[in-house]
Amino acid sequence: MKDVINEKLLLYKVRIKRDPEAYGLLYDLYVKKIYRFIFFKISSREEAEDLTSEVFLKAWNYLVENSEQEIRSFASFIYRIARNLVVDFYRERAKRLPESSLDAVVETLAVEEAGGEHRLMISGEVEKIMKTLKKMKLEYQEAVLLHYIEELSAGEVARILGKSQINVRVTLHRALKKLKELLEKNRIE
Amino acid sequence: MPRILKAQLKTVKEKNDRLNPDSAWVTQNRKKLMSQINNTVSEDKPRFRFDYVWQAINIFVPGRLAYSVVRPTAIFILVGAIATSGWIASVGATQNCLPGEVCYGVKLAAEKTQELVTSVAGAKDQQAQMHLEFATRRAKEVKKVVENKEDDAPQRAAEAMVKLEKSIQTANEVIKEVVETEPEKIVEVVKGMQETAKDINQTLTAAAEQGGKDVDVAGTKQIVKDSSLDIVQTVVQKNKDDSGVVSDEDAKTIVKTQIDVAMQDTGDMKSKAEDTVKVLETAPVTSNNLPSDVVVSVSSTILISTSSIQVVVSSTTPIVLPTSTIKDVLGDVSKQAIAQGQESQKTLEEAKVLVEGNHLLEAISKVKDATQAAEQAERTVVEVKKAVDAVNSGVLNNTPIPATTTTIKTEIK
Repeated sequence: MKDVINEKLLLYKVRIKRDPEAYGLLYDLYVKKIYRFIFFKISSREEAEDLTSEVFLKAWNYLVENSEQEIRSFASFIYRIARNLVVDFYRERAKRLPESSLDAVVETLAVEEAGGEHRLMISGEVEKIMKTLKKMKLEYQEAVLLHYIEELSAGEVARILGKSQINVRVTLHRALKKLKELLEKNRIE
Repeated sequence: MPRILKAQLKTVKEKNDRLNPDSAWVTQNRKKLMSQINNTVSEDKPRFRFDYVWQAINIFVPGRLAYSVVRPTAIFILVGAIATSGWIASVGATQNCLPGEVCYGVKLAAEKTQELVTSVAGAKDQQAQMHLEFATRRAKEVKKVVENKEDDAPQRAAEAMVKLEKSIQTANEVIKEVVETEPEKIVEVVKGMQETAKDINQTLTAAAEQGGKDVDVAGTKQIVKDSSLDIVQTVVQKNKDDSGVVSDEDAKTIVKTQIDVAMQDTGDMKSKAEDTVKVLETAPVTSNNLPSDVVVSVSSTILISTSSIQVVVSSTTPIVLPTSTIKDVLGDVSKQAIAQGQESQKTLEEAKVLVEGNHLLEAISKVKDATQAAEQAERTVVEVKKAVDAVNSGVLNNTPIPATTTTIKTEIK
């Protein structure tokens, strides 16, 4: 509760007083989370770093220029920016590959990501979980990443993904079930 | 299994370094970010907006509760508070507005609203009190307007006095209704009226002293006095016709108060007349060394009488008289006013005796006579004082005296 109040207080200082120091503290709280979220989707350290920087700069500009807009949670706000930038990132890639349609590129990237787990230097049970997670559909990946790995509440995940809380709970349940099935299947194989 | 799986997922971010950013990059990127955003921060701080208050409340109130309960409630309370305080602030800010100022209309509009509300929801005695309060305000406005010494002060003072007279007349009518409908409250209401009349007369007298010849408060003062006397007479008559409306003691007290006020006014008038005589006696004026003569505009019959000259003038044409003659005439007029004052005081003493004998209506009749005579004498004193000021200023400055506008209307024998 104390953390929540502190975070809201920092957000208030940023929006009303345009306080860079307060924004620096919010950066400290979220930079690793946002980086992980992006890196998990892109799997490239350099690109994840660039996009993370861009997320925080965009967030600042939005906050100071739209101080009348209601922002209930900084977490859901910054994750949504990150998510949109990842989508933009894929769109940009699609433009650079004109032969392919956007859907095809996204599909290709998803396949690349699914097969790109070699970039993650992981081991043991965690390695298996991450590899399996990467093979699941994007909706499940995001829900599991945000709720179980980043430990965001179902409500916050719902706001980030633009879904209802019930929908998110159902997705989480199915995603966990699917993950468990895939892990067991891999173990048997 | 699900529990173990969930626990394993929680540990992913700690156990997998590759998932986390390089700490050197985090630090370096922070510096870069701070540098970038510092460049975008202007010196001008954002201006206050109402929704900032809401955002501040939202820090400490849980989100769902805040949005479903606290926010609508807070908005309701704040809107109410702002509407109320806005009205109070606007009307409060107009309280010092004076006739001739733009905001004076707002002040009067607020009073009209108050009048409307009180006429619907208030008792008659409250309505009377309200109109007396308005009249007191107008008197204070007259005094302030005169103190400000602006060019149009006489016109603005006159505007306030017209409204004052109207308020007094309205109060008078309402008080008469109180006499009929709520006789148990009448003593208190009449005492309030007498107190207000006294205050207004003092305020207007002070205004007239400051305003000089251009501010004529005599008519308004007379209306206020007459109104007060009229109410007292109504109450006493009602008490006589309908015994027991007020106690004898209360009725006597009300009449005595009226006598005391009249006595005070008469004494003040006499003092002014005596001061004028003293000024005339000490003024270094002789008929041989005057710089010029004083032009007196006479609009009614006047008998000018001194030990050496006796002139009867009946004309509306300005006449030229030697200053020494004017001085003598003014001295005589002042002495007449003093004599009138003494006569009024005598009449008032007789009224006091009548009160003790419980002849209240007769006592009031005496008070009326004395008040009217004293008022007439006071008007004369005011006019004489204006003339004396004109003569003195001309003589002392050794410059020609311009034609005065002094008009002596009283017939003096």
